Amino acid sequence: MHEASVAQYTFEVLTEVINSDDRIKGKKIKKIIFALGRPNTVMPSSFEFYFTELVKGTILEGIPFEYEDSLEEGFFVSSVEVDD
Amino acid sequence: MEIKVLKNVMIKNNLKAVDNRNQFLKHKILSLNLVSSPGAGKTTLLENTLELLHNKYVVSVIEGDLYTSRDAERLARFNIPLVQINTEGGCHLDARMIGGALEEISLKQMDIVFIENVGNLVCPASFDLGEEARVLVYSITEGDDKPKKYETMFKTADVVIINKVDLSTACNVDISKVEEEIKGINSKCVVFKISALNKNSLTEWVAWLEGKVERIKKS
Repeated sequence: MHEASVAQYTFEVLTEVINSDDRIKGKKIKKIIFALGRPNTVMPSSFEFYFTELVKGTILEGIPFEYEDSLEEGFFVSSVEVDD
Repeated sequence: MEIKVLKNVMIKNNLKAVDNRNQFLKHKILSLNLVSSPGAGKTTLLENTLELLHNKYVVSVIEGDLYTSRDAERLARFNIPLVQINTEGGCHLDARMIGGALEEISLKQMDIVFIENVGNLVCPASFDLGEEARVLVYSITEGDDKPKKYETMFKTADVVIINKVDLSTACNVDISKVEEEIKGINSKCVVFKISALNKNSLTEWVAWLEGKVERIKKS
């Protein structure tokens, strides 16, 4: 259930990154990669439900995302794939 | 092209927690985040702790609850600043909620802020509120196997209060085994054994609180 908050924070972090990182700003985003650390206390299926709902009608709607493992504790926005 | 970002999403909560912590430090306030599973006795502990302390210290309570104000109503008789946070189904308090609540409390002259989190032994463990100490209330009726099952909460607790110890025989739970389990997970936490309904059992807990308040005031 706390994934609702995690989804909200993720949305805010991503929005900031997209609007401030010159490497990303203005480019078409193809994919977002999240890192699941150990432990991370995030259940991906629950996170996906909230995140998908949250980004409807925003620049992030419909952008595919996937996960990678991380040895660091926590849940991260790991990388953003953009058009060259 | 893949652009590396690597940002912990909890940074949003954690930065606000730093703000809250700075406010507590600035005003020399002892702030405690009370966590537990539902029904472990947080509110009863608060009631009887306030009975013993509210004439000596300036105390306020931030009450977290899904939808009701039942716990706040139980504490209203103390005539202390009380802020109710209803999470509308949310399973935890976060640092932003606490930041908002602190705007409603006059922190000048305040000695202690108790934050009663939503009853849940999982989610609140992930959210730093900016508190000085996390106090986990664990009821003996929950058995001796839960500390290992809910390890994150026990790992992150500064204090564990084993409550309802008077029910240990009826529940066939060995208190020393529970304490051993807790210490096996978190050897640094302070452990108190109490029955929150019995004010006489709160002596060590209250002395700990008083010591903390005095240390913070002198810092």
